[in-house]
Amino acid sequence: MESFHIKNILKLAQRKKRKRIIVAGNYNSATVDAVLQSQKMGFGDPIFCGKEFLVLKTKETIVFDNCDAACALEKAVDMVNNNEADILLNTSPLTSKFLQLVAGTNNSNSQVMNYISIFSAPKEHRLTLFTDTLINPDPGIKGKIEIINNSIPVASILGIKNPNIAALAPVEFVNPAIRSTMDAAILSKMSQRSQFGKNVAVEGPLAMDNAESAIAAKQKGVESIVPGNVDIYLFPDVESANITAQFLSFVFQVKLCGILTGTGIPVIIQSSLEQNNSWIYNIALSVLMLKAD
Amino acid sequence: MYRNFIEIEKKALKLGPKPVAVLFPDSPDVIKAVIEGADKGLIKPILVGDRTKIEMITQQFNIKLDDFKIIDEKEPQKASDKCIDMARTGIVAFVVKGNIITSYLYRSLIRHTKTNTPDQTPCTLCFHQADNIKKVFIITDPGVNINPDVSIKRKILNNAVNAQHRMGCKNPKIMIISADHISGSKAKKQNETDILRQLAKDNKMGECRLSNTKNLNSEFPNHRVETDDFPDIFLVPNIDAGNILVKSIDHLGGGVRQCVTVGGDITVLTPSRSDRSADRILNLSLGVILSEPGGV
Repeated sequence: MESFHIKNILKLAQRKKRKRIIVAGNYNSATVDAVLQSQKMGFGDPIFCGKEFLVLKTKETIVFDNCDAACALEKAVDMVNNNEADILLNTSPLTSKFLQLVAGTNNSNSQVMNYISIFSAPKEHRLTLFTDTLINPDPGIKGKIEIINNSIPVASILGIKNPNIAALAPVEFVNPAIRSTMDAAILSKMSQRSQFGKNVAVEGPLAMDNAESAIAAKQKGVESIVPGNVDIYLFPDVESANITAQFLSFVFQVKLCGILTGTGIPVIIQSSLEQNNSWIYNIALSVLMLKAD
Repeated sequence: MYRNFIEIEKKALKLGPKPVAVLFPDSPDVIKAVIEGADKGLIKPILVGDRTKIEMITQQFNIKLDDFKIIDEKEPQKASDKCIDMARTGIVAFVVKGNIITSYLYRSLIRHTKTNTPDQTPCTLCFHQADNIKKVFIITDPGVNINPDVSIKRKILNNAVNAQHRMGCKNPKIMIISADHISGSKAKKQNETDILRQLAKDNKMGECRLSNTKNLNSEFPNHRVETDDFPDIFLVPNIDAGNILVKSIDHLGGGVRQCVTVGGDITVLTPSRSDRSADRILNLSLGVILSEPGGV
């Protein structure tokens, strides 16, 4: 794919119809500022939910103003399910209870939620997706299939129509003692049989060096279009994905944004991997994901 | 304590040359680095591998091998075992991996450690340099132990603490790093961390201190990383997390990575086969420092 700066996500979202964004959870000025900024940019119009937002001095709509943060999140989920809002934005820190709230609601085809961290890699200046950086401690092969299927539409809205997916492992050989290599080999074979679609290439197992470099891959005997041309890095588990993303974000100051997929309703959250200024990108990503335009 | 690999190379040039065994040097980048390392006074190499292949590659680059001893051994496991044996008996200060898959050396080192120093465990230590961090830090174990339990993790940390001491970092800070788990989810391994913390307090891993935090978000909540507070050693949960992380640092982040594998008091340099000769010179420099008796 061509060089695609993360800022392009904002431009793409501006071309979409405005959305109704229901904002619930704990009051957080950085998040509210981002929501109001997204309104100015034309992404959508906020509806604030719960008494936490009574501190706002704007003319914005506040609903359920007798509800505390937890209650407001439940009401907000109902509003999206009842088509009174398009997207739920959770301002509270992410909890397993919230995930239960947004899982298994209507419209969901997926049994697995996963978080996708998106960034432009410093060396490549290429839009890159990491998953799952937040949710599944041990997804197993079934979970990884769902994670891939959840990730393909996200790549698509970012202009990546033929995604190359690296199923990562510590080595490029299948080793029965290392489960990630077995999972990756199965996913790779499924891809060869077009089980993720004809335009999707999953290659694995690939170590990060041969995923990133076609030359390194060739030296290890890996012949594939994926090495050196990866759009989505599928990690073995949340530990490997989250720790790697921590280093990119904190040590190398890579600007990350992200989206939670596989939910029953469209949801905007923020992970601790991201800085406050990522909210606007996360909102834009969710706007882009809505199909009804 | 070294801020970067330039400082490491400068120091190594003063300490060299060290006698080293180079296993399967028959690739252009390996042989170039070996010759350059010898010319610079870092190493005195003994070349171990298929003599015909070694001579072919040196002829290709018009390199004279008159000054170098060659041990002709075509079979990779036997050649690897010979290198480790030379290190064990003090003929060489350390071993350098050339054009060969690492598992041969791992196998030799594991056998040697089990036989001669059963209280130790081999592990890979990756030394990193990143622009924002003004010191070289270690991530371990991305190479040898697939899913280490707490007793193996203690031994891995022993190796890492010992290496940092040799690098002049007398009281290294350790982070037992894990994912930033979602609130309310079951975070595993807390018990392991508590055990390792107690072992560190009881001075069972050499002089070191454990960070109170388990991820960079908790250590640096404002997203501003400070060198003084940045850990000197990161212990990762397993080989998946470690291997992907260390390779991401240079391939995606633009940092520098140099790896060694240690065990049974032997140091083996384990660069990637795709490393260029300039990277390999830094690797040789690291080997010189780590093999210096008592450290620097």
